Amino acid sequence: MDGLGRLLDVRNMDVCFRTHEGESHVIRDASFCVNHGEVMAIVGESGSGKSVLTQACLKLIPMPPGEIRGGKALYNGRDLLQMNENELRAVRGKEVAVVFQDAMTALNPTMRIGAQLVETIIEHEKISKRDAKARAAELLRMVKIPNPEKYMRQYIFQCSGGMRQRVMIAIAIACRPKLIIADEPTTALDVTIKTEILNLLVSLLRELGTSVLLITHDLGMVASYADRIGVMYAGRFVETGTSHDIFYRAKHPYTRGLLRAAPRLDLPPDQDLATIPGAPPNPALPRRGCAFAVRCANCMEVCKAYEPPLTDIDKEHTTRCWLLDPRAENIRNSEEAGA
Amino acid sequence: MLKFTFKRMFSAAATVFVLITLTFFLLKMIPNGLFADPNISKEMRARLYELYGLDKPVWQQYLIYMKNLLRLDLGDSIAYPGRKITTMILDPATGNGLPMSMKLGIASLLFSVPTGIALGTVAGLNRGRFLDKLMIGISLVGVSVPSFVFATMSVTVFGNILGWLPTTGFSTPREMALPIFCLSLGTIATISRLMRTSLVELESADFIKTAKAKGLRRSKIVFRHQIRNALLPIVTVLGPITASLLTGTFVVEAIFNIKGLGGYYVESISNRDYGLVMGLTVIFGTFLVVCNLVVDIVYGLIDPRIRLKQ
Repeated sequence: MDGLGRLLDVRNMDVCFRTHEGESHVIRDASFCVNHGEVMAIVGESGSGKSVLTQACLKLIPMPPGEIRGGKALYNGRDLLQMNENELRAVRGKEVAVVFQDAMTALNPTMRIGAQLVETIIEHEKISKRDAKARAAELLRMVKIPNPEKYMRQYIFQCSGGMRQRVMIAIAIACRPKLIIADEPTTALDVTIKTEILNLLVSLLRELGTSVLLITHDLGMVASYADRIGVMYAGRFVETGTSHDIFYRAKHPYTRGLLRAAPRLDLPPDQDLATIPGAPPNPALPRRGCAFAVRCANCMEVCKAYEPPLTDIDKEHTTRCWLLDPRAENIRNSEEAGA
Repeated sequence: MLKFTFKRMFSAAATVFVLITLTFFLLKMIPNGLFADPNISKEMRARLYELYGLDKPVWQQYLIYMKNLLRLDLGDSIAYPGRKITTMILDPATGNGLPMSMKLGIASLLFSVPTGIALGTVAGLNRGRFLDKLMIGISLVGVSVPSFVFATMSVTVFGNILGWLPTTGFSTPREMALPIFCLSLGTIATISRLMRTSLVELESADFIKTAKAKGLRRSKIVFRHQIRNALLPIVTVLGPITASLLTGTFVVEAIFNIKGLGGYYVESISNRDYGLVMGLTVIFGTFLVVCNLVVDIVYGLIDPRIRLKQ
């Protein structure tokens, strides 16, 4: 791997939070990358660390109590974690922008929408206020907001949920960033608007050639958008691969469990949804072996004692599971024969 | 916004009306009527009653009082015969009375609110550091020590021992310094603590994180997003604070020998000077209601959520 084509390359991130109950080790040796022009999705259940991981790359987590213990976040080869505040500011918003989950709370309630757009543009570009305003209106038009001039003068709480998220997207694309981190961008929305907003986001960014890091707990949602998917569990990636790898050749028992748990239209309606029994481990407790071991149907002795190493299945597809370890050849064969 | 303003103004007027009416009838209900002195003869008492219009039925007295009030006539004083209550309270000749109390209250307001906000901001933006801890300590003292203790202490220290500042009167800036300072301490403490808490709370607000994620410089995040929103809770307490500064001057006025309204409070009640009690109630009641009205309207102006969400 020479790093060519990689826009964001995050390696061995380790993040802790100091809480009253002690130290919470929420990100453990997590690595992923986003290539130029692709949509990379990070999927995981609540508390798996996906938001913390991506926000830590831009040092957006509160520090303290948060602490980045180690790792690198290489953006175009430069480590964001080593940058000083000024260098980092030049990246935030201009190179890498974030779309947060709930625009209602993520935007300032006492500032007009237009002003919040304009201030972003002015911060990063040498542009007159008048031109910035024209640009802001243009941005609102790009996210398909009718009558942008009217919306510029409104406050965020005056807009509907869908409109709010469009505004959030408009702010994110204001300076034509190279990467957008979309942190559960549709979770706060009605089901009917979800697809609309996601379609808008992805089509817009493909048009602009922007890479996307899409964070979600909804595996089904990413199916039609993501080029590659990373599945997170308890602060680390258990499986990473192309969309095709994850949906059709999933290797990790957790990924398979998630896929089975997705609601399906072809099953009888009275059949219970499949679930993964148990709950994720408490990040504040010391851990031994594989984090998923206690919930795993295929758990072996080795899983309880040693953490599984990263195993390459092919060039893009990697996983952390003892079942996939070359040394576990026999077990895998027998399992596949039985299946 | 206009509708909102009118609604508030209407309810403010109604409040004042109810206040005046209640006070009027309450005073009439005090047993053991006026001029109960046994040295006053029956005829004399009857003449005095007639003079002050007390011989008429109570409802008629009430109507007369309200009619006079509309012409800004508060009636005559009983304890100081021949003096109009309006002139006693306003005292345009000497500038004592209400103008003096207002001067002290407003000066203290103008000093304490900006100071409190500034100190609270310094503390809130330096959370956990030395300045913050110092501020918390000082404001704890400010909140818990009553103003008469401060006032007597500062008279002793700055006036008598050090001899830096005069301890009576309120006309020259040097005379004004100590009273204003003593009256302001409590308010400074309250406002600075509120400002600090509200800044600290906003630190973890989602929109502050967004502002950071947009790459804004810290000064813009702090001034435009954090401080602006942190000021909203301050505005809500300004009404009661203004009221307490303008009515709570009694102790400070007494200690620094300032001829404001403070003296009349106690005097009017012990003298059974009904007209003066009524007058003070009307003045302060109206004042309070107007303060709260102004705060409500200002709050609506600066918080669009109130202005636009009806």
